[in-house]
Amino acid sequence: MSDEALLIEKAQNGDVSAFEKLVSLYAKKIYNYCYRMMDSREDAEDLAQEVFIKVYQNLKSFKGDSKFSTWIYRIAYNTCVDRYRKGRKLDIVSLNYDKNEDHVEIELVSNDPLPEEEVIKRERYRKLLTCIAGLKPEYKTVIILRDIQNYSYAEIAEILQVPLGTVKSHISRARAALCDALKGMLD
Amino acid sequence: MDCRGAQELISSYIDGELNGEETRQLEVHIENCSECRQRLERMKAMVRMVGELGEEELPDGFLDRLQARLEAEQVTGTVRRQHKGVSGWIKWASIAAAAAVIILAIKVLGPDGLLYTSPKEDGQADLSARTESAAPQDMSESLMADSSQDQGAQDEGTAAGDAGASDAPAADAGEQQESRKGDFGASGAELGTTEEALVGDAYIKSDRVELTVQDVCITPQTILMRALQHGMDMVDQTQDSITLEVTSVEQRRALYQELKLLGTIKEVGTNFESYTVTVVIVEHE
Repeated sequence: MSDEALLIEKAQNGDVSAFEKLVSLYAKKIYNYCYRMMDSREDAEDLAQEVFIKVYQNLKSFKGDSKFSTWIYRIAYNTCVDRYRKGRKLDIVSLNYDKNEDHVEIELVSNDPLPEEEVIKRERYRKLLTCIAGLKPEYKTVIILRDIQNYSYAEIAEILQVPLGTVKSHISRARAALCDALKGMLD
Repeated sequence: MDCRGAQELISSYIDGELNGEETRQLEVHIENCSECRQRLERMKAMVRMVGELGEEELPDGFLDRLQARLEAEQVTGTVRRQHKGVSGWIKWASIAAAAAVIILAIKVLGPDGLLYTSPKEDGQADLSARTESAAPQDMSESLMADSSQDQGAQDEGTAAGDAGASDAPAADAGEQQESRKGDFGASGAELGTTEEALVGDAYIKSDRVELTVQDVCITPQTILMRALQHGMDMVDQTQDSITLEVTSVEQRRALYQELKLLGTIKEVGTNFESYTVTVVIVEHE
């Protein structure tokens, strides 16, 4: 039995310190996932904590059918999506990248006394973050999981409980939309 | 391969997710098409940029605040569980009372008597009459549109197994698991014709079902993602329910198959002619 499996079993039997160790293993990843999903540190903390409370409440229902990490991420994704549905309005980036509509255009303004190259780099990343934040949750989540947190297509399919083909097409469309929105900055 | 085909494969190519033939075809196209070559380079650059975003450190005091919330939750959770115990007892008492009334009604009306008539819909009349008169005490059983359904089969899972074994073209458990994880289209293809469905497969009959789930991860969003695969549109959604537009018996069967993978289904609706189905998610106690 792996160390993690042992921790899970102990936590399921009420061992608080085992649960705390599990939290410490995943807290940073889940916080960062929520942060990229919500584009707000405040929301990210609130949501990440909500995720761990749900994990705590439902730990006994985890039967090991999927990986523990997959299970936690699934809770995190659903928690973030629920938050969107409860009233968070977003400027969605159009994924219809064949048409020239709804592209995110941002005024690039900076007064920092920095070398021009550094200013341009910062602005590029700021625009990238804005574009990611503007994606629909189902597209944003695949970009975060694949390109930031390096999960495989199969793991993402398991987290989102969708077919592998859906993951492939979501990643492809989301990346194409980002490339389109960042046109002129990637050459 | 044309540019459109190439564009669809570029992302998977970057991740090494194409098979040998696809890779070869794309590479040949890129070799000869400067526009697609540029598109590939741009996407690679974008993926690299996203990868460089890195991770934020946890905010100071995150774990302390989480611990405080967990402790508060433990207190309220205990209170909630105590209430659940009481409501659970009331629920079982209600079920026992309802069962007694139903047994009495069956005895009074005789084995062939109908406790209630079902509306005739799309040729389901005979089927409805048989299943509903045979086992009205468990509405979830009436979902199984199998005329050979054993009246004594109370367990929803067992009932599904029986239906598959008799004359239904239903997938076996392994195949259903496969369809859940993988190809939703295959799941639909296995359902066969409408005629077969009427004699051997299960479907949602009314306008409202309760889905009792064990997994906290199952939300209206989970159901929506599955429903979309079968061409159903969402009409409404709340925190624990979703209303879908269901326009054919095929879609009702597909919805039944999808929901069965997520939990236990119970029909609670009274309208059998509605074009919508509301799925209410109930967490298993």
